[in-house]
Amino acid sequence: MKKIFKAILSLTAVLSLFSSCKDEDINLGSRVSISQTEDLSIPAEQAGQFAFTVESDGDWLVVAPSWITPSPRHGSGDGTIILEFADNVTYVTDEAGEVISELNGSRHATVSVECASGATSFIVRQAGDPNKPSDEIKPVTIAVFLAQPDGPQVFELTGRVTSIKNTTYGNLYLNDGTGEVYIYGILDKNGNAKNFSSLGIGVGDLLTLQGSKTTYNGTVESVNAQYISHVKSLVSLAESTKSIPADETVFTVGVEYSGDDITVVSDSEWLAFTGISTADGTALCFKAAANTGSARSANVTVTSTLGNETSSQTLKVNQAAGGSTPPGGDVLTVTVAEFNAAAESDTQKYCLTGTISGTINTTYGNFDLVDDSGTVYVYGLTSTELGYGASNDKSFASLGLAAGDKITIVGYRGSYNSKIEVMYAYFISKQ
Amino acid sequence: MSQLLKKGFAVLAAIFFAVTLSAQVTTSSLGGKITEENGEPLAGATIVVVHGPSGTQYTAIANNEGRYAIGGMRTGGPYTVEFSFIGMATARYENITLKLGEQYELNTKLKLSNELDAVTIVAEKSFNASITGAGSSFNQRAVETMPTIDRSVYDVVKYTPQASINKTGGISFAGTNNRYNSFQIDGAVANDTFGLASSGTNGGQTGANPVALDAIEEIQVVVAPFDVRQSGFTGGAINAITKSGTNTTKGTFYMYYNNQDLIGTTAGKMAPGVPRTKYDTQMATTYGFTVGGPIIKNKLFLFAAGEYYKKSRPNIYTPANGSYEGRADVALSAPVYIGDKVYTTFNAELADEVIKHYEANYGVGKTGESYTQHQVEDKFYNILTRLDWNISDKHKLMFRYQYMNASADNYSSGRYSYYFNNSGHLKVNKTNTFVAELNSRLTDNMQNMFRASAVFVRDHRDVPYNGANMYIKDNVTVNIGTEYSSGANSMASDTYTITDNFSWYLGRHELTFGTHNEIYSYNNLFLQYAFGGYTFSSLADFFAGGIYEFNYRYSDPELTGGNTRWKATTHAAQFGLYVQDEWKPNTNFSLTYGLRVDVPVLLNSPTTNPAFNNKYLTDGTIITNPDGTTEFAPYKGVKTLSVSRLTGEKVGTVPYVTPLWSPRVGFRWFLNDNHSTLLRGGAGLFTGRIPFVWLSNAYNNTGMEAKSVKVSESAIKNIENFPLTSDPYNDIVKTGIAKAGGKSTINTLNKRFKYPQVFRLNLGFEQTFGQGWKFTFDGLYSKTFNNVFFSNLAIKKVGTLYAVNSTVANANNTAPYYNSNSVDTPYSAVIALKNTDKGYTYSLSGKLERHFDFGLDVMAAYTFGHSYSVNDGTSSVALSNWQYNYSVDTNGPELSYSLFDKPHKILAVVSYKTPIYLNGLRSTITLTYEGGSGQRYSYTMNESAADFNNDGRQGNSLMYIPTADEIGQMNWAKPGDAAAFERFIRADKYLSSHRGRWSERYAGIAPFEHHFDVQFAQDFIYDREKGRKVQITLDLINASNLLNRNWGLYRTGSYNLQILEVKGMAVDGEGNATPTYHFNPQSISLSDFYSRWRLQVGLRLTF
Repeated sequence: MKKIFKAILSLTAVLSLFSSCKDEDINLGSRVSISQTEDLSIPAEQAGQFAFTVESDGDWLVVAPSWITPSPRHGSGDGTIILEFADNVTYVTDEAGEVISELNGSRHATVSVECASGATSFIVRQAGDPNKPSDEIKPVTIAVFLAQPDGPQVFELTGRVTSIKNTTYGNLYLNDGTGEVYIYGILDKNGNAKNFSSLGIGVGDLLTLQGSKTTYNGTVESVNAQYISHVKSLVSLAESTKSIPADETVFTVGVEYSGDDITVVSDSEWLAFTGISTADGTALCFKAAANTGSARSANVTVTSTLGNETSSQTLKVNQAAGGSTPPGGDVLTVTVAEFNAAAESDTQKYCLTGTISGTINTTYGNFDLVDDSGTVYVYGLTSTELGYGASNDKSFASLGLAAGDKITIVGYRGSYNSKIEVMYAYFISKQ
Repeated sequence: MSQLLKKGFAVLAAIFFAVTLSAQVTTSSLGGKITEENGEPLAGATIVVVHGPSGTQYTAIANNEGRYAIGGMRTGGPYTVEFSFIGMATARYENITLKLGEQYELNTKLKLSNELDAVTIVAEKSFNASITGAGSSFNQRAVETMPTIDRSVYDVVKYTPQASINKTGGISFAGTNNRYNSFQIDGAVANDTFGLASSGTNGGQTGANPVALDAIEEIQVVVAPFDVRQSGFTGGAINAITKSGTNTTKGTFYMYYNNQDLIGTTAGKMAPGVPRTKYDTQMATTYGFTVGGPIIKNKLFLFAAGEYYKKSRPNIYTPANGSYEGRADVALSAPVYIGDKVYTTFNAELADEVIKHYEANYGVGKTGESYTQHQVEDKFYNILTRLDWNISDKHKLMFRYQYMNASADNYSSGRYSYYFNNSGHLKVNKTNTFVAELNSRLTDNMQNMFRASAVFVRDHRDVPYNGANMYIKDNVTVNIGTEYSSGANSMASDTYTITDNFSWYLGRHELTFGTHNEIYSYNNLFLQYAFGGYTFSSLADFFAGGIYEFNYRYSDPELTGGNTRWKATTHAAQFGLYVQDEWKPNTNFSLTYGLRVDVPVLLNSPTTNPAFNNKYLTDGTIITNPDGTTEFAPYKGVKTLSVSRLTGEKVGTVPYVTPLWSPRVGFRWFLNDNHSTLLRGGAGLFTGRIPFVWLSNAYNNTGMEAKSVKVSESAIKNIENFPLTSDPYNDIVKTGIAKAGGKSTINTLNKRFKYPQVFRLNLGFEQTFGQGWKFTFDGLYSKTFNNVFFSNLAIKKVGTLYAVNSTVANANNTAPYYNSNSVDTPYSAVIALKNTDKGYTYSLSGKLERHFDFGLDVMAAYTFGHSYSVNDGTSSVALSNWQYNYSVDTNGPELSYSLFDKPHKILAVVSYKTPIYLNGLRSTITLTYEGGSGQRYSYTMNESAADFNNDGRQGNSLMYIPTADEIGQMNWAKPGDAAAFERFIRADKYLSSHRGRWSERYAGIAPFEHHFDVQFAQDFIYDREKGRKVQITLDLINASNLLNRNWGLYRTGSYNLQILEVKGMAVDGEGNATPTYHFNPQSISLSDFYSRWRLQVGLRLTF
């Protein structure tokens, strides 16, 4: 029986040897260099072979896509690698039933030789049908993008977001200084639409996306562009447009900035920047002189700098015309009946005066507006003008309005499910 | 008078770990053969057995074969046994200790004598148990001396060679899922048969122990009992019995204490400059007592025990102390304007405003909410009373009542999220257990045991008020209202068992006829967002009413008789009948053979789902024709055969009532007459039960009763004044503002589904040698007959997945590619529960032990084994059991390592008890070692960017191991990925030897772990005669970590390691997919708590 005991003991000892961690000699090279470092261009068909040499102090392996066949695929020490290239074609059956080859768009890939310390690589570009989109997505300026023909070719664009028109789909304007383009819909990293709000993109942010060019009703667009990345702007204003009455007005606009400083420049003498308040969070303080003439507007540029990086945003201040008359110009003052009879438009603004009635959605400012001529549904009233298509900033509650109040508003003629609505309306005054 | 003191072997393994087996599981028995010196049987000899402490007396008469047997006896002892026959010297055996569930074999030869009072006194040797299969038993000394802090039964039971404690807290036997164990206390079900707790015991979700360790007399563990009376498991069975009162009033009072000062600083290798830190503030105390004594001497005894445990720690995060101020990362995303105040951080004042706003707007009135510092308290108490009544020499009755009340505070404010004090929840468990057992000696050769038990378990979540849940996702997430999973979450289970075993001793045969019946009833309520749930993107939105999302779940009152909080009810039963014969042709050989049949029945059916069961796919709506008849609207206008039609699965059906047969045969064969060498073993079928939650899932997820309402921001914008309410049914559903929708998950039960069954083969060998050494060997093999198999019928294969690329595709590097999104079914998943017969386990264990008379006990054991399965059933949710079963083909998983596979396990125990010194001092020190292979894990991929095989679940696909040729042909997201992965493969023993194949489930194994625990007990005996003493104990867990912080490290129980990230899937026109990978491996982390050494101080007064 002592033997059994011994057997158990030795078995235990052997097992503990096995279980102890033993570092395998994994033998991958610690350095690797190759003779080819520059990009390689090859024809679409019958590209032949290409050879290059490798120098390494250990094992290496070649990474290449399926249309490039390296031999060997892995090796050790110094050696030569020969690449063979497949034709850049797709085989299709034509009308006669014959299998023929059809050129694809040009393509490219990285061939890399890798070892433990990393990879050394070069790019192989294979020609193809110039009328088909290349798989290479090149970064271009917006000016270059605008000059491209419409087509499936995808480009990478980087620019500042100047305004956001729809926060569900992500409709926005992108400007890189060379030009501005309308992006109609942005897909998230998983390729999903209607998920723009989760990306956390705001006006002023530096956005990179990939998309192709289309033209719709004369407007150059990139539809359903793929989101790549964005850098938050160093400065962000709580509002991009502010409407103020004709009287002398002191107002503040919330601001967040992450740069070292903040610079505020007004382009109009009647609007003065008076300082930064930190009492109610950080806010910019302005003073507008009284307006005796027609409605006017001023642009304020707010800039913040961190190191070499500068971000700026513009605040547009609209001041109402002097006196108590509603703003003239391109705004038509109408009765509710006239409004209901007018055509739908996303450019013509109408000024309406009436009494708030019906059920009020106090978050978005939805209610019925009644005057002697009729009733119309106001779908979304905000404290300041946000522009057609802008998302509701839920500022209605701050107006302190209630049923029975007689108010003057400006908005657009629209409809929803064939019900006429005043849309994207903003508040002018209360009587 | 001739007194003969035969010098026998020391009573050795009686102290520790005798591998034993098995009979009734609440009592012991005694049996043997009485002969004359020439071997002639002494028919008619009288046997009188007295249990010393209680005076309980048992008598028997030897039959024509000279055999006798007494069952239903008290476990333990010491017993005195007297054999007498006219004209013979009476033989008296003293100090006999009976072990739980084991027949003590006592054979004697009586001598002729002329003296009337001639008595031969014999000290018995221990090697006499009626063992047929692998297992262990633990007596009171083992229970008392094993180092433990949690004071859990598992801390003792884990010293069974075939057992191993899982990282999730359960205990696994023979490489089988811990949910397939049976745990009984005094014959009453003590395991969580519903199956929610990972520990597998009632109240396990609250971390409470079902019974105080101090109330336990003895524990028996069986893995392969060939006695057909034992059933209800395919893993192992733990049978514990509680202490009984005796003629002497005895009791203990004890307390245990630990806090953060008794826990080591951070364990393991530290990054440079990172200091080892103390563990967070906490305190745990246990108080308990046991008392036992006679009500009527020799007749009626009472034993009672009680224990109270409390663990408490402060949660330091609260706006009251500025936890969320002065930190840029938790500044509010938008300022909050209230009156003339502006808030930019979540401070105390804003916290008051949150409460005020919540109470004013959501119809809950006074919530009692506060944000003072939260003291997190987990506590439980249990009480137990047991009556033992010796009605007569022939009838003994036992009655026990046990109550446990446990609560665990789930409160989890942290750096980035805050819960108001009344917005967490308490997990509450109450368990009432009643058990009565009557042991009757009907005649000298007929014995009956009748037992009835009732166990009532009530689990629920305790919330201070019922109000809509607010989930405010600002930079600090603020939670107020009823916790979203706790508003309607309860489980009530009632389990009744009736058992009767009738034993008939017929010559060399002991026949047993018995029945064991279990009746269950489960009520399970689980509806998230039961009072509505509002999500906001910021605190500013919360105050402005800008809802991001609204959620509500309820049950359809039209189907539930008006109840919007309907509970799924499952009534089930299992009826068992068995017959067995134990045949002892001679004193060296015995053979047990028997047959058992179990009939599981589901007594009610899930609600039928006519839309699901319909021949054609429907969109679930019923159209009323102009003539008043109704019909299902075709799905998307096209008639397509339904999932039900294609697969035969239906909602509303239950498995057929099928008898499950368990024939078993076992033997014991002493190879020599001095009984020093024993060969034992057997083979048979074992029938278990599954966690009932897997069945109950099919009652909850019928696609009928449970309804879900989800309204998103864009929809809410178009609804005027979307209601803010805590009564969504009346204010939102009934008013038609929003209605239930969404794809539901369906669970079906296959009609041919059977409970788990394994065939188990065991061969054991025992040898005593030298001066009291004992060696035990056990070989165990189990083959799955039926086990569970989950598949999702809502997905279908549409193409091929190329792990490398299409040009080098072969059978080894491709897998099915599913279509999860546009499958023509209106269900998000259809999980079908079926059977598989794949799977097997085996283990070989050797154990060596010895008791030294000077007070030393030593034991060492080693077990080697493997375990293979198809689905380990790691979750209580059917959907999770399907989706987290890592596989290449989710619906056709291959046989692979079981999660419970543990190739190597080493155990060692050294315990030394000093003699009494200095007039009343005595010390006991026990050192234990437990070493073993680490947790098995799967090599998987991070699929958060793209679903690898498009089965609709991410992170469940096994990784492909490319050859060196293939690795450069895979699509890599970053340069250097391929070489780094190559290096990783070469460094990994499993991966480097399995290239060119898919990795197998749980193929990886974490490093070996070594853990030493120590218990030291110092007795101050003040009354030697009555054994009265004060004892101080120190339990040191993970002792080696005290010597070196890098020793005794404990790894977390990761089931998988994600090695690659799937960055994207390129799908061609034929539905075939090629992935792009990025190498970003996870590694196994250390458990911060369990890797540290931990000490517990105890004080015990024995009177």
